[in-house]
Amino acid sequence: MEGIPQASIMVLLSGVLVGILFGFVLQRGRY
Amino acid sequence: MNSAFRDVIFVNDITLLRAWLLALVISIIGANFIEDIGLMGADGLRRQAFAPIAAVIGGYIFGLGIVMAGGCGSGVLYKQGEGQFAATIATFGFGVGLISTMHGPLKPISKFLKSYKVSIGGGEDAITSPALWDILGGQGMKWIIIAVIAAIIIPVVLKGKPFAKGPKKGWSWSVGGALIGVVVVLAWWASYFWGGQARGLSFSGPLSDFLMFALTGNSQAPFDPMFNILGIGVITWSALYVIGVPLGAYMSSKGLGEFKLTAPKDPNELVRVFLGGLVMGFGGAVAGG
Repeated sequence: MEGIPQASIMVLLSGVLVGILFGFVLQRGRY
Repeated sequence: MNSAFRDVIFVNDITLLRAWLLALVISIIGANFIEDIGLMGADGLRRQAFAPIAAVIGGYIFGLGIVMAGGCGSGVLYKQGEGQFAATIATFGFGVGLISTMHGPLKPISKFLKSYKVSIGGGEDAITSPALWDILGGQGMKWIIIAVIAAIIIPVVLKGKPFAKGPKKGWSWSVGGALIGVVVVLAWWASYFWGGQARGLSFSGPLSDFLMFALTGNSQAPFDPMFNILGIGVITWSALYVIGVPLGAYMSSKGLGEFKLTAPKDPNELVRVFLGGLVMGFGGAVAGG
């Protein structure tokens, strides 16, 4: 894992949040 | 995507196809706009190499798989958030199919099918990941071609009365379609800004990245930058949204009072969705997402 940057809290949060938004919209839109 | 095309074929209803077209046109305009105003760095949108044989064969096999599995990549992920156990089994099959094709014994087949690539021009100036406008006259044609695509799609969308009142529960097709388009554009930007590489909101590669991380501690992503998480493993940004999709669907279904743990009564159904997932995984990996 040398040379691989540490994930910041924003990297983690933004990734999960984009997924949450997409999952929410898919469910509400009944796809 | 699965439901949009399924309804056209099986119940002759193009409502969800209209939603898909609306999402598509917003995504095309939005993603290219933020690329042009420089929000995705010097490299811009990452366009895939054009491997037509792999795209057609992989896409066809993926299509067979999604019908068996009961949903496409994002479909089986979000349905888990509604409590559907069959979707979990389908996702498991999807992951096995993906990893064995991207990293395992089926990789040579995928590599062979992807070996035929089409690029434009030659030498150092060759465009290896051509967009439609590269074929039809170059970068100057970009917004003309996007305008033509929008001009074809928008009347189809408008014919479905997008401003009519929606159902009592959930959103109308047009609200859902528009918001999917917005989230897709947001994901393009966020993937560049936080993930280190502008990429589309696809699920084949990211599910493989997530499961590789979960099972081995290393996403082993072929293209995307990876990040070290607290020294316990390395993961891609896109693998993180794989975690978020069922969570978001869970929040939505809970809010609507629709969350319910369900499982098929017929065990054959579980076998079918698992096999469908495997087929999806192979097709998705070959087609490139």
